[in-house]
Amino acid sequence: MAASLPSSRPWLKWLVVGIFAAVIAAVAIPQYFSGQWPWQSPPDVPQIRDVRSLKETGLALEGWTNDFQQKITMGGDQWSVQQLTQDGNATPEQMVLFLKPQGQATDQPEVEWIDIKGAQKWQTSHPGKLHTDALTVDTFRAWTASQTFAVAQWYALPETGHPAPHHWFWRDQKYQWSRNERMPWVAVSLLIPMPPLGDVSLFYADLERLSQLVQASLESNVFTPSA
Amino acid sequence: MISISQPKSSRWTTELIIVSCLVILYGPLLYHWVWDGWVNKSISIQHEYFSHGVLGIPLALKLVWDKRQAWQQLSDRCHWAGIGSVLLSLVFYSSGVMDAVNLSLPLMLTGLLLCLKGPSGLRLMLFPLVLIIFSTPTQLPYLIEPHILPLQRFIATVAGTILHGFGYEVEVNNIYLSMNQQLVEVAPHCAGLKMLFTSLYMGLVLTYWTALYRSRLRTGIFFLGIILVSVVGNILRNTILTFFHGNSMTDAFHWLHESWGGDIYSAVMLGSLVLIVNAIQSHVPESLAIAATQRAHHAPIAQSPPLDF
Repeated sequence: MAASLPSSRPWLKWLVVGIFAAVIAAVAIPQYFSGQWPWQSPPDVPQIRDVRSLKETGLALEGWTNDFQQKITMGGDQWSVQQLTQDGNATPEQMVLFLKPQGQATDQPEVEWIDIKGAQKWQTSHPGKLHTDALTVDTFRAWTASQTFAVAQWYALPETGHPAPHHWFWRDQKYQWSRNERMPWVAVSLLIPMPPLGDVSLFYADLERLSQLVQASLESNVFTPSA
Repeated sequence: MISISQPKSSRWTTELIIVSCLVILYGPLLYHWVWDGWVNKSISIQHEYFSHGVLGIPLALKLVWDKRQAWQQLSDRCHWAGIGSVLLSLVFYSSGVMDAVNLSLPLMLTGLLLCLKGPSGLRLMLFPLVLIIFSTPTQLPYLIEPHILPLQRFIATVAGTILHGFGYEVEVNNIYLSMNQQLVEVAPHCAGLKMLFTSLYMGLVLTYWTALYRSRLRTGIFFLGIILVSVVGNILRNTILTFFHGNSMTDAFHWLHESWGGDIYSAVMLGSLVLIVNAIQSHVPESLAIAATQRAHHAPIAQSPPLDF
């Protein structure tokens, strides 16, 4: 076999054994002595307190007044729901914000979008996606017996956001390798009231602007570690 | 050249040293997988997807032991990919990132096989290696889960239709079944992804054990059967769960959902795999070509001898 080295080089075997011994001495033996195995000291999310407190306080947005905020349970997890009104007579006047922040460092984004849809008993139509610089959001029209909303959804992460869990996953892996930290995340569902059977695309500009506002607020209030 | 047979101890020196190194490096990790993850279920749902490793890893070790004579007869040769694999594995191991640490075990074993005996060593130990690869906890289920939504929807719809057929008032909304104001969610794990993983793994073991793998046709039908049985089984399971929940039979619900009722369900599912293998062995030909030849025997013999293929 061309790619195989002939057997007349026993030193190769001993090289492997030598590398082994070096790794055992450098990595494994200290772990045996200290009892600190990698799984006993999983990486943290440094901002976890701020992230978690979103459940209690909701998010403050510049230029918007918080009408009410509440902690609710959906799909077995805790979410914050808040209604905000814009200061002055700007349109849209109101929005509703559902936030599900990561509860502990090991929580991963999973089925938040299905949970909220099921718990709110939404019917949905007109799925779409909006892309801006580093932010991608899912959009659709959602309605219940009493109300219709234009909705934008995404997992907010530091400096970026995307509705798919795998977007978080690979960045989280990179974080673990490069900083020995986990990547924080907040599931955001942003609702603008709209007329029943209305055209959701008329609200894309508003959804885009407000998504960026929420993302920016999360970045400056929550994801930036308080020193 | 005259070869002098070496004393037994020195024949196995390299293997003994390497196995000792592996035990030192990976013993605690395997203990963590088995004891913390699969027995005490304290790591994560993703980790539990691989709990078939409790059976698979010991089986792999036994198969390796059985092949030790054949291993000894292979000539020593080192493939460069083996060295790369071992080095990468050691980088993963010392990174301390859990997913990478887990992955470093199958990488290390592949690398060592290639380093010691080259590609033929890898071929000899391929099946035990595959057993270990598929027992290695990774985040694969996490990455798959978002994509099985259509399956969840399908299971919810069929379960709803069945209950409807029995005359119950059931409402199906996406992956939710509601009966008497009680909501049941067909979550990814409930949709049988875990059971499917276990069934496929056990299917792999059975395929090897019964030498079913010699026939592609039989293997293909077997794995199709596994997927089918696991989907049908899950439809039934979710139907019954919804029935229990909808009629406020809380104890029965918990019995089937997380107590030993679930274990009985799993056992029945795995038992049915054995039945499928038996059925395939007695009813499915080794391959379509052979079936065709057998039929051809009754026909007049062809004029020219068949080409060599």
